[in-house]
Amino acid sequence: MKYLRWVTHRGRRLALVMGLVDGVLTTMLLAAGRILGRGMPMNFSVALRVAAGCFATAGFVFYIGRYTELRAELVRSEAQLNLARRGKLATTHLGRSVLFDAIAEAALSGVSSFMSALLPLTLALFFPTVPLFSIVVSLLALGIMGIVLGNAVRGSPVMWAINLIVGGTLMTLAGFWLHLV
Amino acid sequence: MNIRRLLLDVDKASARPSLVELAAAIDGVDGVEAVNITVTEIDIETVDMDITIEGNNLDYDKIIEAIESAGAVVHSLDEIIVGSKILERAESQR
Repeated sequence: MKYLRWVTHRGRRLALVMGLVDGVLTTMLLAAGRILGRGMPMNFSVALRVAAGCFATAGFVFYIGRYTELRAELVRSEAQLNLARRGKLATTHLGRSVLFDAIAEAALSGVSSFMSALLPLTLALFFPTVPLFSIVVSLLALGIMGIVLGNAVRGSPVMWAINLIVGGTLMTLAGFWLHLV
Repeated sequence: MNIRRLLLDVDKASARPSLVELAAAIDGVDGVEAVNITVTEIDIETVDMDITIEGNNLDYDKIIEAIESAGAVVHSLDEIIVGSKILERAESQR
């Protein structure tokens, strides 16, 4: 329960959402060709490697972005607090605190990406004769994420869902055309 | 010299550290018996606070170090009470 509260905390929404969306989209880009029947059918090893790739890229990219943002926040605070020495706050507990926060959120983003990448991959693994099933379910999952996000930010759930589905469709087309794995 | 009470004017960034983290950092210094943190002003990016610390044989340098290492900034020492008992400020008769 404690971990669930940590994961769903408002401050970590960006990490969670980025990971979930990134996992599906990157998988579409990398593996849409194979999922849709170009080349060899999907197998467990490829599925795991693609998901691991999603974990690594999502986690690392998020870490760099988040750590940069948090360090910049410390620099801004130094200016607001009129601290003479540059980088002073980074040497306090705050420096360690932002580092650990960035690592924890990057791990969350990576794991979310890994899990969401497994959705299209496992469907393609278990239903190799119905390739479109995996794609359609993944696009629906993106649509559901869009509805949840739209509601969370008090935007239009329909527009959010459409945007994510369009993004997913474009990634699928690009992945089919590129046929990367 | 037995420092019994300190009143400090302290600033911190709005986001970090939290008041709880700051209080915990001060409470961790030897001799501290009670801490009061009162927010006196909130700006867009900074929070101004009065911190009152009471105890026995308070170590001023260690308290400042604890506050700064938590990520806040001490602006000034506004009150200090030293001795075997706490002597409140006497109002001037003038």
